[in-house]
Amino acid sequence: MKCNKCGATLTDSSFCNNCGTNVKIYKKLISTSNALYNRGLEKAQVRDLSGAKDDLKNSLKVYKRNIPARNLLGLVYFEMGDVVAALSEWIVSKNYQPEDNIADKYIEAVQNNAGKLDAYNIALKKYNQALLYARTGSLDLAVIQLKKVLSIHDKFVSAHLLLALVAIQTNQIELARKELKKVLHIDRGNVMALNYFKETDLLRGKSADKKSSRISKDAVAYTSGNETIIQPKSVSEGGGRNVVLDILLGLVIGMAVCWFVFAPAKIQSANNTANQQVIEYSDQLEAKAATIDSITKELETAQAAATKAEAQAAEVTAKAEGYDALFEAQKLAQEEKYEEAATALAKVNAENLAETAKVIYDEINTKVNGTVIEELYKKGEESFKAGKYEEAKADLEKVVELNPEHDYAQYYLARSYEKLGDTANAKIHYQKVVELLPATTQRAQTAQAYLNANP
Amino acid sequence: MINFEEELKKFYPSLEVEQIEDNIHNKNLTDMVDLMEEMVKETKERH
Repeated sequence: MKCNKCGATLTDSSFCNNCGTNVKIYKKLISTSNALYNRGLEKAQVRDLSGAKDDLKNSLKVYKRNIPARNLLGLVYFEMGDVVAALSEWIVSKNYQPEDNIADKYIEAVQNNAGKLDAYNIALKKYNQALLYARTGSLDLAVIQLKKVLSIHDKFVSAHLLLALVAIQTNQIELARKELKKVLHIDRGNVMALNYFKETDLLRGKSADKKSSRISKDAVAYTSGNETIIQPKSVSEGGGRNVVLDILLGLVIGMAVCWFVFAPAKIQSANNTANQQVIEYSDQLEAKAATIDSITKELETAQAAATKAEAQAAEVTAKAEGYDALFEAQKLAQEEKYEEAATALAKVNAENLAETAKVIYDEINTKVNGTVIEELYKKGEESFKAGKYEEAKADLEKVVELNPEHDYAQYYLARSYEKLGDTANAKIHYQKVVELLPATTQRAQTAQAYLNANP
Repeated sequence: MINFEEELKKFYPSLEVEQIEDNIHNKNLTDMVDLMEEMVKETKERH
């Protein structure tokens, strides 16, 4: 303890050894302030923060330089959510004792966490707004705002209390009790919270009284250990007959309960399981059907590709065969085997040939066909003149097949049929003769005469 | 029964962080030691 005048350390004496000032009352005041601080500390330790706050404030009213008391008061404010008051106390404390002061650490801890300090400040502003809402009668808005405040700063005792008060006013008793419990969790000695809690008890009691009065009429309540047992008045000891009856009745009721309560639940459960299984199987079936579809499509695509490939292969083979036949025909034509060359040439599809090959094909075709036709015609005519009509018909048929506009071949063929008695075919070829030759020619007139004679 | 209006009067707007400085300046920091010193001073002046 130091002298309030000179700052020298005081002894047990009532006077300062340095300046001689009477420090008796001063010592008493310091002692009172310390006693109040100790009481405040004890209360703070058991979370009676309101009580602690009052004692610490009184301690500081007695002696404002009581640094532990001021720092503890700051801590109590901080714990109750009043950040501004807490910081104010710590700053004042630091001002009185700049060195070796724990307030330094507290201030640093708060100021270094800028985000948290900003959040506190937002919560404070919102609280002020909520208070304004409450004062102007906008209680719903006040509740919303206070809930926001507490979501940011859940130790804000004033906000909890205001929310509880508004909740009581709007008949939200459970909400009020919840908030008050939170307040009492932070500050056990909060008089306001205790009063509000009592109020909520009263409000709840009205409905509880009704229930209890109903119980009291029909029941007898007594205490056994820590439990209150309420026994209906009508309970009485029955005779043996009643016991048997009661057991039977109990069994019947039990079975009925099983049937009406548990059985439907069991059936429902079984149905649900079955339905679940059906759904699972359906899902599996759908999945498999989808897989089958996919595989079928793949198969179709593969088959189409195979068909296309086969067609391409067949085309390639046909082309190759066509070229083989063309070469064969060329070779036979060079050997002057025109008839065989014509047969080989017949196997060639000119559309499948390349341009160069097509030119060769046309050359061979012209040469071979022309020669073959003339040879065949010659043979046919000779056979006809020799009276060998069947042979003549065979050769000349080939000629008209290769060149339908060969008028002589048509004429002799018609005559061969006529000689063979095949009027129908004779008429076909005579008709051709009439079409191919001018009407003034002998052969055309002969043909026309036949046609006229065989309509 | 709680009187809502009366209870509401017990709530005050909270000081915001920007107001710390003002709060400290406006604090009445006079304690009993100050009063005692003043009384001693006055007594001395009278005599």
